[in-house]
Amino acid sequence: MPVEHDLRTVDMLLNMGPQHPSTHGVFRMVLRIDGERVTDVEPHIGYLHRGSEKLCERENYRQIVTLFDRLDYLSNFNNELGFVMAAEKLMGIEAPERAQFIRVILCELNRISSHMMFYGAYGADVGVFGTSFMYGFRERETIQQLFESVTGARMMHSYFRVGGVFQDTPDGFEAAAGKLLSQLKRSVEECDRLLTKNEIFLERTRGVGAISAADAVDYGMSGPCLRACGVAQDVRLIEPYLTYNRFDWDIPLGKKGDCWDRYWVRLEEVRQSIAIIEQALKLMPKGPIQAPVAKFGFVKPPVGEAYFRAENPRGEFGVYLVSDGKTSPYRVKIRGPSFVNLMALRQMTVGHYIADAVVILGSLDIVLGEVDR
Amino acid sequence: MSAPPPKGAGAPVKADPKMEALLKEAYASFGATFGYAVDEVTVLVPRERIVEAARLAKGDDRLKCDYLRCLAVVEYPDKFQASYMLWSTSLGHKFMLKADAPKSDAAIPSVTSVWRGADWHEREGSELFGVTFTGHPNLKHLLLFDAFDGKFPMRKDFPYEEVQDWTPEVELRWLKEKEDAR
Repeated sequence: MPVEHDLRTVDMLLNMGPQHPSTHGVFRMVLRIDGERVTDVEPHIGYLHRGSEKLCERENYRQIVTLFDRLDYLSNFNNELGFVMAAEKLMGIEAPERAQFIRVILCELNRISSHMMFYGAYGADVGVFGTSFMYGFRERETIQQLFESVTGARMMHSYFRVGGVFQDTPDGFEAAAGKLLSQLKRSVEECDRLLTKNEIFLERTRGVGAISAADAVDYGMSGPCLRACGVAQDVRLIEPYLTYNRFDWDIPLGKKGDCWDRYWVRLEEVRQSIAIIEQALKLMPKGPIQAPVAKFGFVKPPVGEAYFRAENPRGEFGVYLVSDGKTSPYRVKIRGPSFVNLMALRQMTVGHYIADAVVILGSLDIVLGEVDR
Repeated sequence: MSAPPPKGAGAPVKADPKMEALLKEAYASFGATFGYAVDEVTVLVPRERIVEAARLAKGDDRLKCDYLRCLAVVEYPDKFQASYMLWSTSLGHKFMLKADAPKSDAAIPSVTSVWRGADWHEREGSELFGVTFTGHPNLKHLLLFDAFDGKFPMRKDFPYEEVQDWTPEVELRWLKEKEDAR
Protein backbone atom coordinates (compact mmCIF):
# COMPACT_ATOMS: atom_id res chain seq x y z
CA MET A 1 0.00 0.00 0.00
CA PRO A 2 1.50 3.38 -0.93
CA VAL A 3 2.33 5.79 1.83
CA GLU A 4 0.07 8.79 1.87
CA HIS A 5 2.08 11.96 1.91
CA ASP A 6 -0.78 14.39 1.99
CA LEU A 7 -2.37 13.25 5.23
CA ARG A 8 -4.10 16.13 6.97
CA THR A 9 -3.00 16.37 10.58
CA VAL A 10 -4.52 18.42 13.37
CA ASP A 11 -3.12 19.42 16.73
CA MET A 12 -4.42 17.44 19.65
CA LEU A 13 -5.38 18.84 23.03
CA LEU A 14 -4.24 16.81 26.00
CA ASN A 15 -5.64 17.58 29.41
CA MET A 16 -3.33 16.91 32.37
CA GLY A 17 -4.83 17.26 35.81
CA PRO A 18 -6.30 18.47 38.08
CA GLN A 19 -6.08 14.91 39.39
CA HIS A 20 -2.76 13.75 38.03
CA PRO A 21 0.14 12.43 40.09
CA SER A 22 2.76 14.49 38.29
CA THR A 23 1.08 17.83 38.81
CA HIS A 24 1.96 17.94 42.54
CA GLY A 25 -1.52 18.82 43.71
CA VAL A 26 -4.54 20.16 41.94
CA PHE A 27 -2.93 21.81 38.97
CA ARG A 28 -4.28 21.40 35.48
CA MET A 29 -2.53 22.14 32.24
CA VAL A 30 -3.91 21.79 28.76
CA LEU A 31 -1.19 20.77 26.33
CA ARG A 32 -1.56 21.32 22.61
CA ILE A 33 0.52 18.62 21.02
CA ASP A 34 1.80 17.86 17.57
CA GLY A 35 2.72 14.19 17.74
CA GLU A 36 4.90 13.99 20.84
CA ARG A 37 5.91 17.65 20.74
CA VAL A 38 4.23 20.25 22.90
CA THR A 39 3.25 23.30 20.87
CA ASP A 40 1.31 25.22 23.51
CA VAL A 41 0.56 25.04 27.22
CA GLU A 42 -2.29 26.64 29.07
CA PRO A 43 -2.06 26.35 32.86
CA HIS A 44 -5.30 26.37 34.84
CA ILE A 45 -5.09 27.14 38.53
CA GLY A 46 -7.51 27.96 41.30
CA TYR A 47 -8.67 24.49 42.34
CA LEU A 48 -7.34 25.12 45.84
CA HIS A 49 -8.42 28.75 46.12
CA ARG A 50 -9.62 29.36 49.67
CA GLY A 51 -9.69 33.13 49.72
CA SER A 52 -6.88 33.40 52.25
CA GLU A 53 -6.37 37.08 51.48
CA LYS A 54 -10.03 37.83 52.13
CA LEU A 55 -9.99 35.85 55.37
CA CYS A 56 -6.97 37.86 56.51
CA GLU A 57 -9.15 40.98 56.49
CA ARG A 58 -11.44 39.43 59.10
CA GLU A 59 -9.06 37.67 61.50
CA ASN A 60 -6.65 39.30 63.93
CA TYR A 61 -2.91 39.21 63.57
CA ARG A 62 -2.40 36.16 65.71
CA GLN A 63 -5.07 34.14 63.93
CA ILE A 64 -3.69 35.02 60.52
CA VAL A 65 -0.48 33.15 61.29
CA THR A 66 -2.50 29.95 61.13
CA LEU A 67 -3.76 30.90 57.66
CA PHE A 68 -0.23 31.46 56.44
CA ASP A 69 0.78 28.00 57.65
CA ARG A 70 -1.59 26.61 55.11
CA LEU A 71 -0.31 28.46 52.06
CA ASP A 72 2.90 26.71 51.18
CA TYR A 73 2.33 23.64 53.32
CA LEU A 74 5.86 22.35 52.81
CA SER A 75 7.56 25.40 54.27
CA ASN A 76 5.23 26.57 57.00
CA PHE A 77 7.83 28.44 59.06
CA ASN A 78 8.93 30.52 56.09
CA ASN A 79 5.35 31.58 55.41
CA GLU A 80 4.70 32.53 59.00
CA LEU A 81 7.91 34.51 58.96
CA GLY A 82 6.82 36.49 55.90
CA PHE A 83 3.66 37.64 57.63
CA VAL A 84 5.00 38.41 61.10
CA MET A 85 7.99 40.26 59.66
CA ALA A 86 5.68 42.36 57.46
CA ALA A 87 3.68 43.32 60.54
CA GLU A 88 6.89 44.05 62.46
CA LYS A 89 8.14 46.21 59.62
CA LEU A 90 4.92 48.20 59.66
CA MET A 91 5.14 48.63 63.44
CA GLY A 92 8.83 49.49 63.38
CA ILE A 93 9.81 46.84 65.92
CA GLU A 94 12.26 43.98 65.97
CA ALA A 95 12.09 40.62 67.65
CA PRO A 96 14.67 39.98 70.41
CA GLU A 97 17.94 38.48 69.25
CA ARG A 98 17.27 35.01 70.55
CA ALA A 99 13.91 34.88 68.76
CA GLN A 100 15.63 35.92 65.54
CA PHE A 101 18.12 33.09 65.85
CA ILE A 102 15.37 30.59 66.57
CA ARG A 103 13.56 31.83 63.48
CA VAL A 104 16.66 31.48 61.30
CA ILE A 105 17.33 27.93 62.51
CA LEU A 106 13.74 26.78 62.03
CA CYS A 107 13.39 28.47 58.63
CA GLU A 108 16.60 26.93 57.35
CA LEU A 109 15.62 23.50 58.65
CA ASN A 110 12.32 23.98 56.89
CA ARG A 111 14.19 24.83 53.71
CA ILE A 112 16.10 21.57 53.98
CA SER A 113 12.97 19.52 54.60
CA SER A 114 11.23 21.23 51.66
CA HIS A 115 14.16 20.58 49.33
CA MET A 116 14.21 16.97 50.53
CA MET A 117 10.57 16.69 49.57
CA PHE A 118 11.47 18.11 46.17
CA TYR A 119 14.30 15.60 45.88
CA GLY A 120 11.98 12.69 46.52
CA ALA A 121 9.19 13.88 44.27
CA TYR A 122 11.53 14.92 41.49
CA GLY A 123 13.19 11.54 41.46
CA ALA A 124 9.75 10.01 41.06
CA ASP A 125 8.98 12.45 38.22
CA VAL A 126 11.99 11.37 36.20
CA GLY A 127 11.46 7.69 36.93
CA VAL A 128 13.42 6.74 40.06
CA PHE A 129 10.44 5.10 41.66
CA GLY A 130 10.74 4.73 45.38
CA THR A 131 14.42 5.13 46.14
CA SER A 132 14.66 8.91 46.02
CA PHE A 133 11.38 9.20 47.92
CA MET A 134 12.76 6.99 50.68
CA TYR A 135 15.96 9.03 50.87
CA GLY A 136 14.16 12.35 50.93
CA PHE A 137 11.49 11.34 53.39
CA ARG A 138 13.91 9.74 55.83
CA GLU A 139 15.50 13.15 56.40
CA ARG A 140 12.19 15.00 56.32
CA GLU A 141 10.87 12.77 59.06
CA THR A 142 13.76 13.46 61.45
CA ILE A 143 13.45 17.20 60.82
CA GLN A 144 9.74 17.09 61.52
CA GLN A 145 10.33 15.27 64.77
CA LEU A 146 12.57 18.14 65.82
CA PHE A 147 9.86 20.61 64.78
CA GLU A 148 7.36 18.69 66.85
CA SER A 149 9.59 18.91 69.91
CA VAL A 150 9.76 22.70 69.52
CA THR A 151 6.26 23.66 68.42
CA GLY A 152 4.10 20.67 69.28
CA ALA A 153 2.97 20.21 65.69
CA ARG A 154 4.49 18.44 62.74
CA MET A 155 3.32 20.78 60.02
CA MET A 156 0.89 23.54 60.98
CA HIS A 157 3.03 25.11 63.67
CA SER A 158 1.56 28.60 64.37
CA TYR A 159 4.79 29.20 66.24
CA PHE A 160 5.95 32.65 65.16
CA ARG A 161 4.32 35.68 66.75
CA VAL A 162 4.49 39.32 65.82
CA GLY A 163 7.53 40.41 67.82
CA GLY A 164 8.92 37.00 68.67
CA VAL A 165 8.09 33.35 68.95
CA PHE A 166 5.48 31.43 70.94
CA GLN A 167 7.81 29.69 73.40
CA ASP A 168 11.47 29.01 73.95
CA THR A 169 13.13 25.90 72.55
CA PRO A 170 12.94 22.80 74.77
CA ASP A 171 15.89 21.53 76.81
CA GLY A 172 18.44 19.75 74.71
CA PHE A 173 17.37 21.45 71.49
CA GLU A 174 20.90 22.47 70.52
CA ALA A 175 22.22 18.95 71.03
CA ALA A 176 19.35 17.40 69.06
CA ALA A 177 19.80 19.90 66.24
CA GLY A 178 23.56 19.28 66.18
CA LYS A 179 23.00 15.55 65.93
CA LEU A 180 20.45 16.09 63.17
CA LEU A 181 22.90 18.21 61.20
CA SER A 182 25.67 15.63 61.23
CA GLN A 183 23.16 13.06 60.05
CA LEU A 184 21.92 15.43 57.32
CA LYS A 185 25.46 16.03 56.08
CA ARG A 186 25.92 12.30 55.50
CA SER A 187 22.57 11.86 53.81
CA VAL A 188 23.01 14.81 51.45
CA GLU A 189 26.08 13.04 50.10
CA GLU A 190 24.01 9.88 49.70
CA CYS A 191 21.33 11.78 47.80
CA ASP A 192 24.03 13.37 45.69
CA ARG A 193 25.49 9.97 44.80
CA LEU A 194 22.10 8.53 43.85
CA LEU A 195 20.93 11.14 41.32
CA THR A 196 23.27 14.00 40.45
CA LYS A 197 25.63 12.20 38.08
CA ASN A 198 23.26 9.41 37.16
CA GLU A 199 23.34 8.84 33.40
CA ILE A 200 19.56 8.47 33.02
CA PHE A 201 18.87 11.44 35.26
CA LEU A 202 21.27 13.59 33.24
CA GLU A 203 19.66 12.52 29.98
CA ARG A 204 16.22 13.45 31.27
CA THR A 205 17.11 16.81 32.78
CA ARG A 206 20.11 18.36 31.03
CA GLY A 207 19.11 20.91 28.39
CA VAL A 208 15.43 20.37 29.18
CA GLY A 209 13.25 23.36 30.03
CA ALA A 210 16.01 25.91 29.80
CA ILE A 211 15.14 29.58 30.24
CA SER A 212 17.45 32.55 29.79
CA ALA A 213 18.33 34.87 32.64
CA ALA A 214 16.69 37.83 30.90
CA ASP A 215 13.41 35.95 30.43
CA ALA A 216 13.45 34.65 33.99
CA VAL A 217 13.87 38.16 35.39
CA ASP A 218 11.17 39.51 33.08
CA TYR A 219 8.71 36.91 34.36
CA GLY A 220 9.68 37.74 37.92
CA MET A 221 10.93 34.25 38.70
CA SER A 222 12.80 33.84 41.95
CA GLY A 223 14.52 31.37 44.21
CA PRO A 224 16.38 28.32 42.92
CA CYS A 225 14.63 28.65 39.53
CA LEU A 226 16.15 32.10 39.00
CA ARG A 227 19.54 31.24 40.46
CA ALA A 228 19.74 28.24 38.13
CA CYS A 229 19.93 30.82 35.30
CA GLY A 230 22.97 32.38 36.92
CA VAL A 231 21.28 35.43 38.47
CA ALA A 232 22.71 35.93 41.96
CA GLN A 233 19.49 37.07 43.57
CA ASP A 234 18.72 35.81 47.03
CA VAL A 235 16.67 38.01 49.35
CA ARG A 236 18.74 36.79 52.29
CA LEU A 237 21.70 38.51 50.64
CA ILE A 238 20.32 41.47 48.69
CA GLU A 239 17.94 42.65 51.42
CA PRO A 240 19.16 40.88 54.57
CA TYR A 241 16.57 40.28 57.25
CA LEU A 242 16.80 38.52 60.63
CA THR A 243 20.48 37.80 61.28
CA TYR A 244 21.44 36.45 57.87
CA ASN A 245 24.17 39.04 57.34
CA ARG A 246 26.09 37.57 60.29
CA PHE A 247 26.65 34.18 58.70
CA ASP A 248 29.14 33.03 56.13
CA TRP A 249 27.62 31.12 53.24
CA ASP A 250 27.54 30.91 49.46
CA ILE A 251 24.84 31.24 46.85
CA PRO A 252 24.95 28.30 44.47
CA LEU A 253 24.42 29.42 40.88
CA GLY A 254 23.55 27.43 37.78
CA LYS A 255 24.69 28.21 34.27
CA LYS A 256 22.08 27.18 31.73
CA GLY A 257 18.83 27.48 33.65
CA ASP A 258 17.70 23.97 32.71
CA CYS A 259 16.08 21.31 34.89
CA TRP A 260 19.38 19.85 36.02
CA ASP A 261 20.62 23.26 37.15
CA ARG A 262 17.44 23.82 39.16
CA TYR A 263 17.89 20.43 40.80
CA TRP A 264 21.56 21.02 41.52
CA VAL A 265 21.00 24.49 43.00
CA ARG A 266 18.48 23.03 45.46
CA LEU A 267 20.77 20.23 46.54
CA GLU A 268 23.62 22.68 47.02
CA GLU A 269 21.33 24.97 49.01
CA VAL A 270 20.78 22.15 51.47
CA ARG A 271 24.53 22.17 52.16
CA GLN A 272 24.52 25.95 52.58
CA SER A 273 21.53 25.79 54.93
CA ILE A 274 23.37 23.26 57.06
CA ALA A 275 26.30 25.69 57.25
CA ILE A 276 23.98 28.54 58.29
CA ILE A 277 22.31 26.48 61.02
CA GLU A 278 25.67 25.35 62.39
CA GLN A 279 26.81 28.96 62.75
CA ALA A 280 23.45 30.04 64.17
CA LEU A 281 23.55 27.32 66.83
CA LYS A 282 26.98 28.54 67.91
CA LEU A 283 26.04 32.23 68.01
CA MET A 284 22.56 31.88 69.54
CA PRO A 285 22.39 33.98 72.71
CA LYS A 286 20.21 33.50 75.76
CA GLY A 287 17.53 36.03 76.49
CA PRO A 288 13.91 36.98 75.97
CA ILE A 289 11.97 35.60 73.00
CA GLN A 290 9.12 38.08 72.70
CA ALA A 291 9.06 41.86 72.36
CA PRO A 292 6.16 43.61 74.12
CA VAL A 293 3.77 44.42 71.28
CA ALA A 294 0.38 43.05 72.05
CA LYS A 295 -2.09 44.68 74.44
CA PHE A 296 -4.63 42.16 75.69
CA GLY A 297 -3.38 39.82 72.98
CA PHE A 298 -4.23 42.15 70.10
CA VAL A 299 -1.62 43.52 67.74
CA LYS A 300 -2.46 46.91 66.22
CA PRO A 301 -0.02 48.20 63.61
CA PRO A 302 -0.32 51.91 62.78
CA VAL A 303 -2.00 53.22 59.64
CA GLY A 304 0.22 52.61 56.65
CA GLU A 305 1.54 50.06 54.24
CA ALA A 306 4.60 47.84 53.98
CA TYR A 307 5.93 45.25 51.58
CA PHE A 308 8.18 42.65 53.11
CA ARG A 309 9.86 39.85 51.23
CA ALA A 310 11.71 36.81 52.46
CA GLU A 311 13.53 34.00 50.75
CA ASN A 312 11.36 30.88 50.88
CA PRO A 313 12.55 27.50 49.65
CA ARG A 314 10.66 28.26 46.43
CA GLY A 315 11.75 31.84 46.03
CA GLU A 316 10.72 35.30 47.03
CA PHE A 317 7.72 35.26 49.35
CA GLY A 318 6.26 38.73 49.56
CA VAL A 319 3.58 40.12 51.85
CA TYR A 320 2.02 43.49 51.11
CA LEU A 321 0.27 44.64 54.24
CA VAL A 322 -2.05 47.63 54.43
CA SER A 323 -3.26 48.57 57.89
CA ASP A 324 -5.95 51.01 58.94
CA GLY A 325 -4.89 50.86 62.58
CA LYS A 326 -7.38 48.18 63.60
CA THR A 327 -6.81 44.69 64.96
CA SER A 328 -7.25 43.16 61.49
CA PRO A 329 -5.30 44.18 58.40
CA TYR A 330 -7.08 46.27 55.77
CA ARG A 331 -5.57 44.32 52.93
CA VAL A 332 -3.02 41.54 52.61
CA LYS A 333 -1.59 40.61 49.26
CA ILE A 334 0.46 37.43 49.20
CA ARG A 335 3.07 37.10 46.50
CA GLY A 336 3.74 33.38 46.33
CA PRO A 337 6.94 32.38 44.56
CA SER A 338 5.29 29.33 42.97
CA PHE A 339 2.53 31.54 41.56
CA VAL A 340 5.04 33.69 39.72
CA ASN A 341 7.39 30.88 38.69
CA LEU A 342 4.47 29.04 37.15
CA MET A 343 3.89 31.93 34.73
CA ALA A 344 7.07 30.95 32.88
CA LEU A 345 5.94 27.34 32.43
CA ARG A 346 4.71 27.91 28.90
CA GLN A 347 7.97 29.46 27.77
CA MET A 348 9.94 26.52 29.18
CA THR A 349 7.74 23.70 27.93
CA VAL A 350 6.92 24.62 24.33
CA GLY A 351 9.03 22.61 21.92
CA HIS A 352 9.74 19.75 24.29
CA TYR A 353 8.20 16.27 24.49
CA ILE A 354 5.11 15.48 26.57
CA ALA A 355 7.21 13.40 28.95
CA ASP A 356 9.48 16.41 29.47
CA ALA A 357 6.51 18.57 30.48
CA VAL A 358 6.30 16.48 33.65
CA VAL A 359 10.02 16.89 34.32
CA ILE A 360 9.87 20.65 33.75
CA LEU A 361 6.84 21.15 35.98
CA GLY A 362 8.53 19.06 38.69
CA SER A 363 11.69 21.14 38.48
CA LEU A 364 9.71 24.30 39.30
CA ASP A 365 8.73 22.66 42.60
CA ILE A 366 5.34 24.32 42.89
CA VAL A 367 3.03 24.05 45.88
CA LEU A 368 -0.56 24.68 44.90
CA GLY A 369 -1.57 25.91 48.33
CA GLU A 370 0.53 28.96 47.64
CA VAL A 371 -0.37 29.34 43.97
CA ASP A 372 -4.10 29.39 44.63
CA ARG A 373 -4.11 30.91 48.14
CA MET B 1 14.35 45.14 72.70
CA SER B 2 12.39 48.02 71.26
CA ALA B 3 9.37 49.63 72.86
CA PRO B 4 5.95 49.51 71.24
CA PRO B 5 5.19 52.53 69.06
CA PRO B 6 3.42 55.48 70.70
CA LYS B 7 -0.33 55.53 70.37
CA GLY B 8 -1.80 57.28 67.36
CA ALA B 9 1.47 57.42 65.46
CA GLY B 10 1.57 56.57 61.76
CA ALA B 11 3.72 53.87 60.24
CA PRO B 12 7.47 54.45 60.69
CA VAL B 13 9.37 55.96 57.78
CA LYS B 14 12.97 55.06 57.00
CA ALA B 15 13.77 57.84 54.56
CA ASP B 16 15.89 57.13 51.52
CA PRO B 17 16.90 60.65 50.36
CA LYS B 18 19.07 59.47 47.48
CA MET B 19 16.33 57.36 45.90
CA GLU B 20 13.73 60.04 46.60
CA ALA B 21 15.78 62.71 44.80
CA LEU B 22 16.42 60.36 41.89
CA LEU B 23 12.75 59.53 41.48
CA LYS B 24 11.65 63.15 41.83
CA GLU B 25 13.98 64.03 38.99
CA ALA B 26 12.97 61.07 36.80
CA TYR B 27 9.24 61.57 37.30
CA ALA B 28 9.30 65.39 37.29
CA SER B 29 7.02 65.68 34.24
CA PHE B 30 4.45 63.12 35.44
CA GLY B 31 2.59 65.18 38.02
CA ALA B 32 3.39 62.44 40.50
CA THR B 33 2.77 62.35 44.24
CA PHE B 34 5.58 60.97 46.37
CA GLY B 35 5.34 59.15 49.66
CA TYR B 36 6.80 56.33 51.72
CA ALA B 37 5.87 52.73 52.44
CA VAL B 38 8.20 52.33 55.44
CA ASP B 39 11.52 52.01 53.62
CA GLU B 40 10.59 52.39 49.98
CA VAL B 41 9.57 55.48 48.06
CA THR B 42 6.11 55.40 46.49
CA VAL B 43 5.38 57.26 43.27
CA LEU B 44 1.71 57.80 42.49
CA VAL B 45 1.26 58.67 38.82
CA PRO B 46 -1.97 59.43 36.89
CA ARG B 47 -3.32 56.15 35.57
CA GLU B 48 -3.22 57.30 31.92
CA ARG B 49 0.54 57.51 32.17
CA ILE B 50 1.23 54.31 34.11
CA VAL B 51 2.59 52.41 31.09
CA GLU B 52 4.86 55.32 30.25
CA ALA B 53 5.98 55.47 33.88
CA ALA B 54 6.63 51.72 33.88
CA ARG B 55 8.68 51.95 30.66
CA LEU B 56 10.72 54.71 32.24
CA ALA B 57 11.31 52.64 35.40
CA LYS B 58 12.55 49.72 33.32
CA GLY B 59 14.42 51.55 30.59
CA ASP B 60 15.99 54.53 32.36
CA ASP B 61 19.71 54.06 33.01
CA ARG B 62 19.41 55.49 36.52
CA LEU B 63 16.49 53.25 37.52
CA LYS B 64 16.80 49.98 35.53
CA CYS B 65 13.94 48.32 37.44
CA ASP B 66 13.76 45.13 35.40
CA TYR B 67 12.15 43.00 38.13
CA LEU B 68 8.49 43.26 39.11
CA ARG B 69 8.37 41.95 42.66
CA CYS B 70 4.64 42.15 43.12
CA LEU B 71 1.51 43.84 41.82
CA ALA B 72 -1.25 44.40 44.33
CA VAL B 73 -4.70 45.92 43.98
CA VAL B 74 -6.23 47.53 47.07
CA GLU B 75 -9.78 48.77 47.44
CA TYR B 76 -10.00 52.01 49.41
CA PRO B 77 -13.35 53.59 50.32
CA ASP B 78 -13.17 56.03 47.41
CA LYS B 79 -10.89 54.37 44.87
CA PHE B 80 -8.95 51.36 43.68
CA GLN B 81 -5.20 51.49 43.82
CA ALA B 82 -2.71 49.31 41.99
CA SER B 83 0.80 49.13 43.47
CA TYR B 84 3.74 47.93 41.42
CA MET B 85 6.67 46.88 43.61
CA LEU B 86 9.82 47.20 41.54
CA TRP B 87 13.40 46.09 42.00
CA SER B 88 16.54 46.53 39.97
CA THR B 89 18.62 43.36 39.75
CA SER B 90 21.65 45.31 38.50
CA LEU B 91 21.53 48.37 40.77
CA GLY B 92 19.93 46.76 43.81
CA HIS B 93 17.36 49.41 44.63
CA LYS B 94 13.60 49.39 44.92
CA PHE B 95 10.57 51.60 44.80
CA MET B 96 6.83 51.39 44.40
CA LEU B 97 4.81 52.75 41.51
CA LYS B 98 1.13 53.43 42.10
CA ALA B 99 -1.91 54.27 40.04
CA ASP B 100 -5.43 55.11 41.19
CA ALA B 101 -8.73 54.39 39.51
CA PRO B 102 -12.06 55.84 40.64
CA LYS B 103 -14.80 53.40 41.63
CA SER B 104 -17.08 54.59 38.86
CA ASP B 105 -14.51 53.76 36.18
CA ALA B 106 -12.31 50.96 37.51
CA ALA B 107 -9.80 50.64 34.70
CA ILE B 108 -6.02 50.89 34.64
CA PRO B 109 -3.82 50.31 31.57
CA SER B 110 -1.99 46.99 31.63
CA VAL B 111 1.79 46.83 32.06
CA THR B 112 2.17 43.32 30.62
CA SER B 113 3.97 44.87 27.65
CA VAL B 114 6.67 46.09 30.04
CA TRP B 115 7.01 43.13 32.42
CA ARG B 116 5.56 39.80 31.32
CA GLY B 117 5.39 38.87 35.00
CA ALA B 118 2.46 41.26 35.45
CA ASP B 119 0.19 38.86 33.55
CA TRP B 120 -1.30 36.73 36.31
CA HIS B 121 -1.23 39.49 38.93
CA GLU B 122 -3.42 41.60 36.68
CA ARG B 123 -5.77 38.73 35.90
CA GLU B 124 -6.13 38.15 39.62
CA GLY B 125 -6.79 41.81 40.33
CA SER B 126 -9.33 41.91 37.56
CA GLU B 127 -11.39 38.92 38.70
CA LEU B 128 -11.20 39.54 42.45
CA PHE B 129 -11.62 43.34 42.44
CA GLY B 130 -13.22 44.06 39.10
CA VAL B 131 -10.45 46.39 37.99
CA THR B 132 -10.11 46.15 34.20
CA PHE B 133 -6.50 46.19 33.09
CA THR B 134 -7.01 47.58 29.61
CA GLY B 135 -4.75 46.19 26.95
CA HIS B 136 -4.14 42.91 28.78
CA PRO B 137 -3.95 40.15 26.15
CA ASN B 138 -5.93 37.52 28.07
CA LEU B 139 -8.03 38.90 30.90
CA LYS B 140 -9.88 35.68 31.75
CA HIS B 141 -10.67 34.28 35.17
CA LEU B 142 -7.61 32.80 36.85
CA LEU B 143 -8.50 31.60 40.34
CA LEU B 144 -12.29 31.55 40.10
CA PHE B 145 -14.21 29.28 37.79
CA ASP B 146 -15.24 30.73 34.45
CA ALA B 147 -18.95 30.79 35.25
CA PHE B 148 -18.54 32.70 38.53
CA ASP B 149 -21.13 35.43 38.14
CA GLY B 150 -20.17 39.07 37.87
CA LYS B 151 -19.35 39.71 41.53
CA PHE B 152 -15.92 40.49 42.91
CA PRO B 153 -15.04 38.52 46.06
CA MET B 154 -12.22 40.70 47.36
CA ARG B 155 -14.35 43.85 47.44
CA LYS B 156 -15.32 44.98 50.91
CA ASP B 157 -19.05 44.66 50.18
CA PHE B 158 -18.79 40.98 49.25
CA PRO B 159 -19.94 39.02 52.32
CA TYR B 160 -17.83 36.20 53.77
CA GLU B 161 -20.82 33.90 53.93
CA GLU B 162 -21.67 34.07 50.26
CA VAL B 163 -20.89 30.83 48.50
CA GLN B 164 -21.16 30.13 44.82
CA ASP B 165 -20.90 26.44 44.12
CA TRP B 166 -19.48 25.17 40.93
CA THR B 167 -21.89 22.73 39.34
CA PRO B 168 -21.94 21.28 35.84
CA GLU B 169 -25.26 23.06 35.23
CA VAL B 170 -23.72 26.45 36.02
CA GLU B 171 -20.81 25.75 33.72
CA LEU B 172 -23.08 24.53 30.89
CA ARG B 173 -25.37 27.53 31.22
CA TRP B 174 -22.35 29.81 31.05
CA LEU B 175 -21.03 28.03 27.97
CA LYS B 176 -24.43 28.30 26.30
CA GLU B 177 -24.65 32.01 27.05
CA LYS B 178 -21.21 32.44 25.54
CA GLU B 179 -22.29 30.54 22.43
CA ASP B 180 -25.46 32.61 22.13
CA ALA B 181 -23.51 35.83 22.45
CA ARG B 182 -21.38 34.78 19.52
